[in-house]
Amino acid sequence: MQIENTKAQLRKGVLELCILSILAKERKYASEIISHLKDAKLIIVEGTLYPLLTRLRSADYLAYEWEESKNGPPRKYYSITTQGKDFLSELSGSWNELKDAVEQLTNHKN
Amino acid sequence: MNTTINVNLTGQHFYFDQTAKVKIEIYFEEIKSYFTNESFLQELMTDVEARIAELLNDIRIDSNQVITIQHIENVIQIMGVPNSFKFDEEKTQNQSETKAIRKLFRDPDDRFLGGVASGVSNYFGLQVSWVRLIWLLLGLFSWGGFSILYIALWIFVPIAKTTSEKFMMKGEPINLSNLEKKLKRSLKRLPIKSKMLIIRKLNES
Repeated sequence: MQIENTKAQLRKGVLELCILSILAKERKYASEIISHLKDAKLIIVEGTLYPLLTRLRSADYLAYEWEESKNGPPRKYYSITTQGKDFLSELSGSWNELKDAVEQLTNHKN
Repeated sequence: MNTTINVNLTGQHFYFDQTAKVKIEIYFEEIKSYFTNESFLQELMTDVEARIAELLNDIRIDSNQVITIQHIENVIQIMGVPNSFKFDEEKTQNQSETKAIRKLFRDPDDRFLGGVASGVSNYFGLQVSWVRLIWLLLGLFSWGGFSILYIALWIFVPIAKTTSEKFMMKGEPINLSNLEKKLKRSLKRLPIKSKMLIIRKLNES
């Protein structure tokens, strides 16, 4: 049993929820999303994020647009779509249920 | 003396040394191998390439600086090993084991004219010299009519550019052990000194 692997799987499970929540507030480009997730210690390496972003995009939960940047190449800004918002509220619903359930089971003292 | 190679990452230009180029190629191929069945593969790889270009741009002092294997290792430390790109362990593992797609490509490494004959021989698993002989005979007997077909194939069959396309050309599955074999094969063609250097550096990492 690898503890690190279990931890990583736990984090991965909630990553989509977190990406959608970050983008629900405002549109962002990949590096910004990464730094949010890194600050929250949700991801350790950046590679984890990219497949999730493209998967959410190909499921039409996210959209993107290119924008010129002052220094360097144009940036790909991601934003949440209407379907993405529906998906997000569904995900946060089940997250809250899960959180309560786990809290109840792990903190319950007889 | 070391050879440097021009590398283009999403439109940005870099000088790579040989080991750095081999290392980044293997890295890309390994990531690709986890997502070959996904419709978003191309988009994903462009994003990853763009991010790596961005990171390398921050690392290098000016645009003339040569990217070495050390730089690539620093980038991989930030991006994570290819494994960290995977969604879920079991599903992707099965995919990479079973996947062996065969497609018709022209072979750039074994060509007389356009690499059509070697492509056809790879596709059907025939000896390339037989295909060339048959090609020639058909060409002679049809008074050149057959060369039109040859030219059509030359135009319409794509050339195998990437390592994965070369695997598909031969119907080999794209996985790490095949990538290593391929790497060793391509090393054979290099001068002995650079070969030793690459092997030493790859072992260090």
